Amino acid sequence: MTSRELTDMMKSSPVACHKVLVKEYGRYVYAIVYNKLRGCGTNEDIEECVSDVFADIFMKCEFDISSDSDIRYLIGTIAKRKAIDSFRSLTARAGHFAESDEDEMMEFVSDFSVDEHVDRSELRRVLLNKIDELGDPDSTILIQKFYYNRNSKEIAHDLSMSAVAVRQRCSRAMDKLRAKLLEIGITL
Amino acid sequence: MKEKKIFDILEDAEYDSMNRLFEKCPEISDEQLDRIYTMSEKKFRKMKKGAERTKRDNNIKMTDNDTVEGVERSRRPVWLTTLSTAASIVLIAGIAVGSTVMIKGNKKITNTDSQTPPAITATTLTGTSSASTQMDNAVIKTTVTIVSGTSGTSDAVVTQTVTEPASEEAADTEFIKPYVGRWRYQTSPTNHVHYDGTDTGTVDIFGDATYTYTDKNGNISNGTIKNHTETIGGSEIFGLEFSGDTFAGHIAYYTDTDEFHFGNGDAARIVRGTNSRTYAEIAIEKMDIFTETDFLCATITDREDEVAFVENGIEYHRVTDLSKIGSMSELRERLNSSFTGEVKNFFTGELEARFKEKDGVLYEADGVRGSFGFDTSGGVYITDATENSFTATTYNTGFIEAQGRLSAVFVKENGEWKISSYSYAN
Repeated sequence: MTSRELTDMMKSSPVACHKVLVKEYGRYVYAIVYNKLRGCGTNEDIEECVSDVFADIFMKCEFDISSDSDIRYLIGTIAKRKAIDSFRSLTARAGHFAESDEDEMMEFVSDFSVDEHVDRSELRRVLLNKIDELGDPDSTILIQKFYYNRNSKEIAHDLSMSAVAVRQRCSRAMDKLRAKLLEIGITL
Repeated sequence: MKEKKIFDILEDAEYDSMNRLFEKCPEISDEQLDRIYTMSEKKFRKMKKGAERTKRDNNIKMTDNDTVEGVERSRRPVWLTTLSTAASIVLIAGIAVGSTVMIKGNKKITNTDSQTPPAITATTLTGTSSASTQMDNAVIKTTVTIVSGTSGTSDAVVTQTVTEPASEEAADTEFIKPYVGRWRYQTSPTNHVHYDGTDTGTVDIFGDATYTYTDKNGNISNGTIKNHTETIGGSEIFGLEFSGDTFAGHIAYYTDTDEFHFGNGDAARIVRGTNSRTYAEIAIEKMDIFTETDFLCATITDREDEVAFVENGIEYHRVTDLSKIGSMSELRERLNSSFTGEVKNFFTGELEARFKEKDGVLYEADGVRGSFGFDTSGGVYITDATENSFTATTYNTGFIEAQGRLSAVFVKENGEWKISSYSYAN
């Protein structure tokens, strides 16, 4: 959907437009927010943040944002920024940065290493490549099970399989992934 | 756990990796999307109201070259002014009284009596100042009392601060706490909502005793909820009183923690969870399972062409598509939970003959026949309903006799509804 199409839709029915936005991009925003808050927030925190993102997007729609560019990029950027805000708020609430004196702050600063960042990014890419090599539905089962933390029953429902079949495939796929990672020197 | 740990590396992904993770993201249910939409809409309206207020004030000027001038007015909470005033009064009174007491305390004792009088032998209230303020549904009362001894030699200042959280407003919203969350609003065309009620919309109840109702077409209405109690025949009946004309009645009476009925009849209710499912919902679920099971008996599942083994002269092939049937135990569980009597016996006999499981691998024998299922796409209507049995019949306008099932009789067995028999169209 382009910004121009969105603006036209807003003119005819803002409520319908909002609904379309949530339906069309709900999953996309959820995936971005989940990626940031997975380690520190509950499902409710994630839903709260997703709704914040859409409230911001609805506000943006109030103004003329007509252009032919895909609004997916705009939505992605808003989602990422909101998720970072939420991450800071949640980690601060959990006391992760509480009572930090000067020495501790130095530790935080020194924690960020460019090399480490690049290594992590490369490892992420390699892991995703190896998971993709497993093919569907194994790659989907692994990602949904271990990254999205869904249970076998939920995955089975989406993939039209039985829960038992999902568990079996998951176990076999994990063995294959372990072997593939071992080939390149990564052990689980 | 180790597996989960390696997947943590996927957090904080860049654009490319993020897109790959998005492709594998599970579908979000309509219910979850509705919830997100309702929350977003509420936040958006609040933000819009704030933006409009600023615009109305006309304090902000924007020029073409992106320069913004002016002052944005922010609204402080009303209680803050009252609280600050009360705090100031208490502070000033405290300083004044404290100073007086200290000055008086420094005076020499002029009493010639040899006995030392008690510091306070009797209390005499010489002055009281009190201030109270309200903050977040709590009343803070501060009372400064000057108490002097009978001898008049010393005075004492007693400052008492009492927080009374049980203000009327707090008590008013306390009743709603157990019912906060998403509910389904159901209505019935036959005034038997717990038999054949269908979802008409969703009701979101919030902790501040407000609600948002979203109907099937996406129309939203908001209102407030009050605590309603009435006494009938000496019994106290609790209910929720909804403002506006959104529902079949204003008052929804408590049935259990997950169910409230509107009015005295059985025409409409709000429910949550799965315990309050209507007979029609249960019937559709079980009738669909019947159709799937019958289809399983009637068709050949995806399998290997090669014969895996022969038993009693019957050839068995390894099943490759485990989506319809994963294992024999799963199949038996399905039959046990959905069917009883002759229906269960029929399916058990047929499927146990068709499928075999060896060393965790499923095999299938040949066998094709006609399949007769229920068409629940148009819904079902319920008749002969009692606490332990009912009949569900499909609304199937294009039904051709002897080409499908029409009615199913359900009985309750060990707390679970099961199909005990079925009939064709008449």
